[in-house]
Amino acid sequence: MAGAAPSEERLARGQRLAEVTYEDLLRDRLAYGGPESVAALLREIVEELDLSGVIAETNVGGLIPKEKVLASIARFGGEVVPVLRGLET
Amino acid sequence: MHVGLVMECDYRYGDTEQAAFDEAFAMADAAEAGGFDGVWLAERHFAAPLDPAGAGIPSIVSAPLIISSAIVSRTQRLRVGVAVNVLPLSHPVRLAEEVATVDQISRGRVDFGVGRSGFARSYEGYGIPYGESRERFQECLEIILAAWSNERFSYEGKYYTFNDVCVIPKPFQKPHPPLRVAATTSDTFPVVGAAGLPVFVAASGGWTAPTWCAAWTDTGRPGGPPATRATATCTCEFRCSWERATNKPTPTPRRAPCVPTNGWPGISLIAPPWPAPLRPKKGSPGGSGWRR
Repeated sequence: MAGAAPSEERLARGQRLAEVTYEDLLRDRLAYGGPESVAALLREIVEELDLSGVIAETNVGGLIPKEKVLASIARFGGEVVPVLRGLET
Repeated sequence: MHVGLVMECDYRYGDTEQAAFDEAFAMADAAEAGGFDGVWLAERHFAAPLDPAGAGIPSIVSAPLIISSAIVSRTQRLRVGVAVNVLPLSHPVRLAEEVATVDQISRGRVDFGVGRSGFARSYEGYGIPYGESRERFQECLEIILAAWSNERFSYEGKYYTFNDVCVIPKPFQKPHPPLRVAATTSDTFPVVGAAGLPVFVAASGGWTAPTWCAAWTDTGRPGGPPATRATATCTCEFRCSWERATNKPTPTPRRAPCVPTNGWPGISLIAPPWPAPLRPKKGSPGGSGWRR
């Protein structure tokens, strides 16, 4: 991408996103699953990249029902956040 | 460890606008109850349901600072940021006043995320050419930081001129709320880095972050680039795929001075700490390295 104009970058990014599959998303771009697997994945990323925080988006795509979004937030707070708090960052 | 929650304030098809506001506040309440440190509101314009001119998923968060004000009034501990305030679409002094007001109301719980946005349609709706967005962004940010950091300030720019004005209130946090600058394109990173400002990388934009790190380092500021402690946002993007992107083994950047985000598509970064604000001198349009 070096030297590409910003508009070209955006275009390339759009094309890349247009070609991504559901399986790609689950494998590479989402922390999806139960609290333990999500916490384990986030812990791996936080430790590998030496990150100081995580910001979660709980309704990617905007189609998840409100009740499930709120339940996800509560569960993330109760079972994943304590794991993240325990990391040395 | 900052744990935040994205709030796009989705406006669900077939639902009412009031229901969307109710859901947004329920999310904020859940974030506080769940032990999150903060929420990050989007700024979305003309995002109506079934409107072909809308920006993808419909949303009611066109005035995120007003929603922020309501959230800080119903919570006790939660920080509230906007990711991001689209500076070119706001009058800079008005925005400085409003962000400072929410910061005062909340007793210092505001995070200040700024950017240009990639939604050109928002600019069309506001009657501002997207081609002016970079210049306008730089000017607006210089003005806002000058307004907060000086009792009175003057400024002479291409789009705005101010002569010895005193912006009241000042932010509760001194000298101002924590600043995050959004960057997604290759030419933005070195500009932000050269200004010594922390970067906020939108999803998929990580490949040019090293140019920001290098430019930041070149400024000679002590302590090294703040990318040493970056924050991932899981705005739908997460797992690294270094091998697929580079055909090289995954490096081990643990505790490395600069996270090699090049080739890590989808990792989003926010990088504290935030440096001292820009302080344009009276009559000077910045002098901060933003202008090239």
